[in-house]
Amino acid sequence: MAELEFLGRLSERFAPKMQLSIPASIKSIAALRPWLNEQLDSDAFSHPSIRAIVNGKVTAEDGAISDKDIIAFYPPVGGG
Amino acid sequence: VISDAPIFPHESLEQFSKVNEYAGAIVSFSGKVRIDKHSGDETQALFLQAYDPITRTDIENKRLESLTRWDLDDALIQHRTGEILPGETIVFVATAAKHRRDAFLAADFLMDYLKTEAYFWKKEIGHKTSKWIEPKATDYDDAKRWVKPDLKDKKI
Repeated sequence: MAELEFLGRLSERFAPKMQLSIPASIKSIAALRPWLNEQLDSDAFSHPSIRAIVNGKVTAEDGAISDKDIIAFYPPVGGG
Repeated sequence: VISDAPIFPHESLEQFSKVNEYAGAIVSFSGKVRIDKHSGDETQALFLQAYDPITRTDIENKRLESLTRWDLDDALIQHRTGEILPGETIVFVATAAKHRRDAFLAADFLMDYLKTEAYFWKKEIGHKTSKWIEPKATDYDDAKRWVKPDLKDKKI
């Protein structure tokens, strides 16, 4: 099972975190997006401003993922 | 330093000045939760979310970048997380240098980074409603100023 985490407004729209079994055929963030949209009945993950952190590292669209990862999705950042 | 604990900017500045007793210039900035209204609803609090370790390590990397980009003795960043009340300090940045220009520029650079690139998510909580807020176009424009490679040497 992969651990999905949702940050900022996504944490309220979905949940702060959840466990999901990601099919072995999904190997990248780009491939995960449409699958997640379907699982969560949403279009949020199509938006390019929503980015991903895999196991604590900001990950590009072609970044590899597996069913053992901690994958966080986040909207645009900003503090101060 | 990222913490849910309150920031006391006067004490932070005094401590920073003591540590940097040989600096000729010390610049500090405190960002506070404004006491005002949004959508006709008075702001009750801001909620700041971080995601460690990435929030912490990215801030430290940017602090180290400021030390190499300008002639600084030291730089300090304190940032609150959790619920922050109107009038309380969200962020405190201080820089110490031999001369004032380096201290001013580095503090400005660090604040623009914190506003637009640091890994925080921010929510305004009102009496009736609350909403997540993202940086404004002007915040991104401010941050772009530091992309120009020659800017660090430019005298204003």
